[in-house]
Amino acid sequence: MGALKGSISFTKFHVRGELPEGFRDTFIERMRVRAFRPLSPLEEAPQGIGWCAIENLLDLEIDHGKVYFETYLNVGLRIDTWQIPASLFKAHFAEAEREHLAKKGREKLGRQEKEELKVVVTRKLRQQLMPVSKLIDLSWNLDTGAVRFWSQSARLHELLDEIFEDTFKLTLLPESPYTTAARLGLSELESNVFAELKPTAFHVAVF
Amino acid sequence: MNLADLIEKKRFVGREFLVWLWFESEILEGRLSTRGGKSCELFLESKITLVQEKEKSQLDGAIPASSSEAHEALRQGKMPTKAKLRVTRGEFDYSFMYAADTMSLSGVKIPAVVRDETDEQFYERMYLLEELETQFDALYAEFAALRISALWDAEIVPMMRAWVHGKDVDLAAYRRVRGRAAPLGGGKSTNEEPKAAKVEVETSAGEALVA
Repeated sequence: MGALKGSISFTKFHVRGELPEGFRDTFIERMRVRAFRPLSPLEEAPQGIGWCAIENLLDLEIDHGKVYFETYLNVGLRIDTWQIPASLFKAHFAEAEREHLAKKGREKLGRQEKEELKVVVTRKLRQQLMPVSKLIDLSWNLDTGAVRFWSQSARLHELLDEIFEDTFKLTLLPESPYTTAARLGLSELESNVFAELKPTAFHVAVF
Repeated sequence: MNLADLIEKKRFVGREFLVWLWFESEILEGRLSTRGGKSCELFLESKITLVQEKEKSQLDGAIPASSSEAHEALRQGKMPTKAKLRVTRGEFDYSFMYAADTMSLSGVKIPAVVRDETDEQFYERMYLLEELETQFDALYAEFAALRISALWDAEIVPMMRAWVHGKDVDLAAYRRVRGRAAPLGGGKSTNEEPKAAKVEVETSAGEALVA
């Protein structure tokens, strides 16, 4: 499911700020800087996030042909996360702990040793596993400033906010009852009135 | 109030918009109109979720919004947070889940896409989606203009309360009131700060805005 085919489920944002001069080239350069880099089991980071071609999380080569669809900028946001099943980690940690204690001829690990052993076990397991990959399509209408992000997860919206601003130097405003009314033309006075609105009690039997 | 507060603290307006769509759909037999001739047919169908604090009613069925359970939930003070809507505009027929708090659409079924090439399919999908959004924006603009108008509390809410409680709504009177609301952006611009006390200002269409 995504921008090009399949089910259509998205959250809409609007870009705040003006597109810079020559933005088509600039955006490609910046997206390349923030393109997805595969996670290494030897690094501590539990998660990696970056841009890739739309609907192809293996294609990390960003170029004009893959990104620009006339007035739309289409790109994929790839998020890889190491997810070691807790039971698997627990079993491997217990085994490593036993071996370590037998080698040292002791009965209990110190706190520091436990932390170090957790890092060793995590690294070893990561070498045997693949990170879990998620791909979310993003489609930006450069004429209207509307950005459709194919996810409704608040956590992913936070990640998007961060990488979008870092990449494009522009901020995203989420669609909401207030922002939509403002976009549709609230005057300053109307905006003040909107700010003072209180919920309506429809259930009260007074008519 | 800063922007983040306006976004978070006014999410209830999205639920009220959904109640208003429901109300209009029922009393106008699904035929909704907006300024500039952007008319459509709109029905609530198959799913609706209503909540009040931690209490939640999730109703499924052919047309659950027309059921006595849905109206009873409204009478109990529950407000709709999600509903499946069907919108028909000309030859275009859409259905989708609408989430009121975030105004987001999911599971959107657009009219059949006929092109095969990926690029062409994308443009057609976006065109059809943007047509739906334009229609939905026009409906929201109508609602927002009413919601910030003095007509809301004085005339619209009593009619909606009557509908909630199963009483007849004077359709001609409702249409007259709706026609009197100034369009969004019709209010005079002012540099006044928002006031906690009542503020009344005449708009260009002669209606009062009240805060």
